[in-house]
Amino acid sequence: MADIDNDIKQMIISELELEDVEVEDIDTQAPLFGEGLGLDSIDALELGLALQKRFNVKIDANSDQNKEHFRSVASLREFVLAQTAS
Amino acid sequence: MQIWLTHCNAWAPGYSDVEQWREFTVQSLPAGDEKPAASGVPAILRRRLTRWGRQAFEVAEQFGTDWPDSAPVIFSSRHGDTGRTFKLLQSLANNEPLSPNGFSLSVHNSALGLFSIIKKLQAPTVAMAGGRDTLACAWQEAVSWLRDGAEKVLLIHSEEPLASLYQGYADEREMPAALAVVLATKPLTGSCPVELVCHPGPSSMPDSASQMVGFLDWWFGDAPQWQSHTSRHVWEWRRGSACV
Repeated sequence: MADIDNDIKQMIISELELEDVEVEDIDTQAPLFGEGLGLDSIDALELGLALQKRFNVKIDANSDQNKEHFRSVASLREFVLAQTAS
Repeated sequence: MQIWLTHCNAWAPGYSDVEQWREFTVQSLPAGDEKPAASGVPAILRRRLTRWGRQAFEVAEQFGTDWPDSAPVIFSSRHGDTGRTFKLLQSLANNEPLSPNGFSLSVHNSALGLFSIIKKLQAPTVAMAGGRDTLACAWQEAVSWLRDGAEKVLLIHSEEPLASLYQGYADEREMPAALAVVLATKPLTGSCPVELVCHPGPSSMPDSASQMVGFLDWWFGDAPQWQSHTSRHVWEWRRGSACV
């Protein structure tokens, strides 16, 4: 699980071109949007695209659950694991 | 109407202060991947900017504070950010989804738009391009606003050489650089009277380097005037000796 967490963190850093942020700086449980890293809606779209490319998961643009999936690194991990298991 | 240049900031790889610019000549243009710090831009937004936008912020930063609503901001660039555009076109050609961030910043006024958002500007803004005459056209736009009653105008010009695939179409020598100039109807300490004149008819011998390159060489040198030859016009910039 730690491996997937780190993969997701690395993906966030490189895809969103975060400056001066290391994998260790991202708290697995912390919110990604608004507070925490302070990402915004364009980042959410960019992340969605990266998740599809990197983990081959499908994101339903109209799903009400997206907000929950994208809450933190931990919730993204659960989402990726659930998708790849099904 | 007398027009004064009250400020002129410029940045290029290896050139940021006036002493460095005094050494600059059109013969040797800087290249390389060096980016300016653009420390006035919050990191969360700065990461989205390519050098083309970052260097514009770098030179314009100091004017963003307390800039009056009545003073227009003009942004000019001949090609815009072709590196970004090229990436998007490449994605389209490969049937890949477009980067939302790349797409949202792919318009000509993206750097100007972000500048006005970050600095909470309510002044009129315009982003323009005019081929090889781009800098002169933007300057004319600035002068028009001054003649129409504006007290001062901020002109930001940013250039990045064409993306590598398009390099074969380049018709002038280019370099990554940005320039911010404040033109005003009243002088401040350190201001110089300036004038731009357009002579009729195309020049038979267009300059080999971009208009911005020639302008930077002239402005940071000592000559009272300089002619810019493009394929459309001959522009003549003059500065008075009576700088205050």
